[in-house]
Amino acid sequence: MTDNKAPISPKKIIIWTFLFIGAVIMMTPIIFMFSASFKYNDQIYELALISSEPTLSNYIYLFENTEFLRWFLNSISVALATTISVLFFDSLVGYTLAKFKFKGRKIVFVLILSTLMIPTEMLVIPWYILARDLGLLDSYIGLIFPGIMTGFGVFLMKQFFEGVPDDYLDAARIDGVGEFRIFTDVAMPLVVPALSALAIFTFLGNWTAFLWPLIVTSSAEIYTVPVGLASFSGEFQSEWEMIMTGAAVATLPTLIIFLFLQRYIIRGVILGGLKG
Amino acid sequence: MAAVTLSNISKTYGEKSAAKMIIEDLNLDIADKEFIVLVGPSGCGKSTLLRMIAGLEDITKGQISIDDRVVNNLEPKDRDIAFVFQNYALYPHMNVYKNMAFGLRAAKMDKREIEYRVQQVAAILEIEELMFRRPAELSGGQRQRVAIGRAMVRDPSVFLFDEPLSNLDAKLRASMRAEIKKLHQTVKTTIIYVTHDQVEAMTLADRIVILKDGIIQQIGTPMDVYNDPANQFVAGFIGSPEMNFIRAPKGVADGCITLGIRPEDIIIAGDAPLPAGHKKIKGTVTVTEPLGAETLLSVDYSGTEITAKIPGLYIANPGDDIKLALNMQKAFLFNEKGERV
Repeated sequence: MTDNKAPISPKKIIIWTFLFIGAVIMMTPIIFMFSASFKYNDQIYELALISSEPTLSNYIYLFENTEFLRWFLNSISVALATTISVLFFDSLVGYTLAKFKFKGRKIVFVLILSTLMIPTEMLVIPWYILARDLGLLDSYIGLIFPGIMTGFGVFLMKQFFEGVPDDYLDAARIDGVGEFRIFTDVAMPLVVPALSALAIFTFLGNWTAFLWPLIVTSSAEIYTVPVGLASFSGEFQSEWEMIMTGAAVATLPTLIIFLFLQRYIIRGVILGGLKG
Repeated sequence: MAAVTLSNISKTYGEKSAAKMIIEDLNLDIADKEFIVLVGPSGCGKSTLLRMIAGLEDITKGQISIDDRVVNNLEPKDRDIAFVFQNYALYPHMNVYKNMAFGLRAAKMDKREIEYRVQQVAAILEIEELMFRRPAELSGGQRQRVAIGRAMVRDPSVFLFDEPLSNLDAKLRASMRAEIKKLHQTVKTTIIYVTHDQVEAMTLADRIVILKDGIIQQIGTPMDVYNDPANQFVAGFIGSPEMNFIRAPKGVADGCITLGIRPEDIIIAGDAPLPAGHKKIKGTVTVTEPLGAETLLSVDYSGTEITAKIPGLYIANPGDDIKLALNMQKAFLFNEKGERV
């Protein structure tokens, strides 16, 4: 009997080792987060992964005695509203920039691109002044408005729409279809991978957003999950077991999204890379 | 009635200072139910002209009329035309039925009427079994039929075809060519067809329009342009293999510098006396291409390569000396500007 398996090359062993180390580095905090959510407050600094007295009391307390469920629904609403808005407006602007020739098109695109170079930390002051003047502080619209459209999304969608052959659009024009319906019925279905990738990036970005929601909200019933969890951390004492429990629950939507849409994420990233 | 009239059509691209002329002051009358083929080399403006008729491209100057109605400012959908694209342009996310019905739905046509029309056209094109397949699941020929079907269901006054067979292999191209001709005989609609393939032009057209650099070189029936080319460009463009051009022998015609003769008007000169009107030349064989029914013979004649189409099989080796006879009654003479003399 002979063993037909080819020997594993040293190159592969090195790659796998690095990948394994990377996986451990990324997974350890998540494992500790889940582990801590089953511990009592006084056990939190014990390094044991499985507590000697595991408990569900943190989860019960989180849902019964805090406004976590409200924050969770707030986060879902804000992330969904922003995602839908970004998908619509970014693709509409990207499509217009990619497929229509008009004066000033390049300047508009450069201006939109330039917004990518400004960090969020610099934008929060003008955002805050705008929200204050429009009376949007401590409101859902105040939470949502800075993310209604993104420069990154416009850039991504423009690149993808440029890959859609003009003949499809011309064929629809000959068929007598209006410009907006050409956009929705012909162009949009051809960039589904890009839309999926953009949806995932936007949803996750807003789900985990902390700085702007912290600044714009002041009432606990408007908090999103990250801001709400931060409220468990006081000046003299932090309820780490509650923070970890809330964070563990908060990972569920992201896990679900990844499980259902991972093929689109990979496709989107690959296509995004190809389109430049 | 769907006559198409193009009056003084010009098209330029770019800003005024650096404008590039694509089509220059073009006039063309296309009769109702006529099959007209626009032919010319790449970049001659034939596809641009077709897109201007369709309304997909603006006209810089001039007037286009369909059915005595000026359509310059009408949207493509209001021109009563259908367009078949070179790469088919079938919507990839829709099945064949939806592709064909898309335009009718946009026109808010009754659902039953849509179904009737699509089924009727599908039966003519023999694509009934493909109705629920997506374009990616079809072969090139099937896609082409669907593209034609999508145009047919709209029941337009004018069909516009933009090199529809150029993506097909040679065998399929020949059979689709015959089908398009049959289709014209069945639907009896005006067809404007763009191609760079002169065989397609010759076999399909009622009249051929030969374009070069945005200017019409000649308009005529296939036999007209073949037998009586207006200039050296047309003579060289129409006919396969293309016409041979050699320096005119002394005494043939004064002031002419080029003599054009088609490969089929050259015979092998044996020892027997030549037929009347023939002129003997000597050359060296460079290549022989036996095609079965005929042999293409490439011969070096005083530094110019000429091709002769010899009936049947002719065996010769490269380097062999050969005597050919040119049928001077069928030869064409051109001056230094390429004009017929």
